[in-house]
Amino acid sequence: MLIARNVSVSLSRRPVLHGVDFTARPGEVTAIVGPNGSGKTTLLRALSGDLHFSGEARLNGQPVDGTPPWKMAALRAVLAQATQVGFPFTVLEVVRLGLTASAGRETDPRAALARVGLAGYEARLFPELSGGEQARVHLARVLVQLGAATGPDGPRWLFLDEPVAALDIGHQLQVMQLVHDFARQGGGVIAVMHDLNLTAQFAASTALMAGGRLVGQGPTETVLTDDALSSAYRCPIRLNRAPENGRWFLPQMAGLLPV
Amino acid sequence: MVAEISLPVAGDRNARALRASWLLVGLVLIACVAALDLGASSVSLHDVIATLLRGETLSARDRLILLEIRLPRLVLGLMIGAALGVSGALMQGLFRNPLADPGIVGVGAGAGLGAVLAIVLGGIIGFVSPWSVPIAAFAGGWVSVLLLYRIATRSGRTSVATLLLAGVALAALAGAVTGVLIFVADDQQLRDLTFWSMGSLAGASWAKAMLAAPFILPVLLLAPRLGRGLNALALGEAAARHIGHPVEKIKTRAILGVAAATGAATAAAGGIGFIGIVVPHLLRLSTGPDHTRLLPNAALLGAALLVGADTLARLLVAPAELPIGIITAVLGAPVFLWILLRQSGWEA
Repeated sequence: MLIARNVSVSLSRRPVLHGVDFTARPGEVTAIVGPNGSGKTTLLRALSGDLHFSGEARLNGQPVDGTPPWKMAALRAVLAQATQVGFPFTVLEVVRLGLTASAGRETDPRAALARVGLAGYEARLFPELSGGEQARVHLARVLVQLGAATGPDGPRWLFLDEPVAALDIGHQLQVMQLVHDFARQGGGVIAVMHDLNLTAQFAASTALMAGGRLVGQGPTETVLTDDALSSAYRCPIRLNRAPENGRWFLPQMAGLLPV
Repeated sequence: MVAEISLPVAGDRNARALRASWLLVGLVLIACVAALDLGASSVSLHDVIATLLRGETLSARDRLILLEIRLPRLVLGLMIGAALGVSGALMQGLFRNPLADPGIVGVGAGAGLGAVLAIVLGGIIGFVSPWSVPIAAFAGGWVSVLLLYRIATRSGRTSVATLLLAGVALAALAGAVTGVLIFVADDQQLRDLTFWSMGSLAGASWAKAMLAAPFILPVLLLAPRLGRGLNALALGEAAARHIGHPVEKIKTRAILGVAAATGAATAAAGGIGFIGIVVPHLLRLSTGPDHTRLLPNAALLGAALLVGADTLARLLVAPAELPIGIITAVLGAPVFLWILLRQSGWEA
């Protein structure tokens, strides 16, 4: 379990996160959604141990801000929005960077590359890849870091900040399916998402943020409602049901598109 | 695992880096033989070995030249070259920037100021000792590194950007003070200063080598252990921490290691440019940026280049000597420009 109580963060003395209570369960994808500047990434960074915060946050019972890096690295891997690589490492070398902290874990970097659809890219230089390919290399790296979805220390966690932002629609589905599978195998996934369609499709649980506060959390279908979304995003949003599979189809701005 | 050892894996440059290591060991050996064999006097290794094989003892003059002049100079040159190469690789890794050099943490500016103080003020107060310049340079280097480190560290976290900017400010300040001292210096002091600032191994002795060794050798031995951490730092500090690396410890160790090794090197031989910046760069171009391989190879290439440059410095205008900094700059600057042009996509 990830349990955060009353988490507040100030950046340059300006409060950006106001007493957030947030819970995520292993076995499902938990999405964090909300407009730009609502504090999604700040919440994820606080839970990753990157930012000083007041309040309390525990991952599998371990405090996220007091546990040494090597111990946290065995529990959770973090995929940031965009990670530059300082030197021209090959794709295989970048994926292997995920291995360093978890020596002895049975993860094959090449298998991880195949899972993100980049088999055969091992010898390519990372800086020469497209943005979407780079994003998937980093996903392979965090998968290699965790190894399996669960271990003797409990479920392992993927913290993802807009994991599909750089990807085309085919790869968006592939990556979301991959993290969904990770959750189904018993791991935990917390993903900051912009795409409400993908959120509705893959996240069992959703936290909706606005103005640095959590304005809703629970099963995705109860959180993503017309009123809640319209109020959080400050624009009229209407939900439809896709007739084929009953999943949500989002968003349509009321008045702009014929329905 | 077996397959990984026996078969070359696509994207894996370890085997290449290992081959490069053996090549570099050969290069160091060649540089060593040349350094012992060649010089202003006519003592050659060939004659020495022939004499020894005949069961005769060396003449006192040959013994002196080989064991008391060329050998300590070779040993000091190997250590300083390796120190500069490793320090450059550490700093470039830490700053994630291929243009960083050991001087970036303020060692050069501080050591330069220390040396000038010792030469000029020492002359004014009448205290002149062969040890005053190296000791003052070493102390100056350390004071400036510790000062920069204090300035850049807030609540346990060191900002490399602040370190860099504060280094620029400190170097300007040290330059200003140095300028004032040069203004009041006499002609002989100016000559000493010029020679010191361009670097030279001319003052090498066993005593100097023994003094430099405890600062340089531990850094050379321990630096490769920072390799994995520096590789992870290429992803940025946050990502390195996420993977489980103790980022603050890595930064502190790299900075203090560079201060110790470069400080001792500068104290013993003055300011020698370009080795620290060119060596890691050349290696990265051929065997990739993996620091676990880069750091030991940088020690080997740095040692070979510096000993080679020193041999040239002794030979080109024999029996006089060129400052070694001139040789490294003449060889290093064009290589550096070539790298810059390559990076900006000049090569077709």
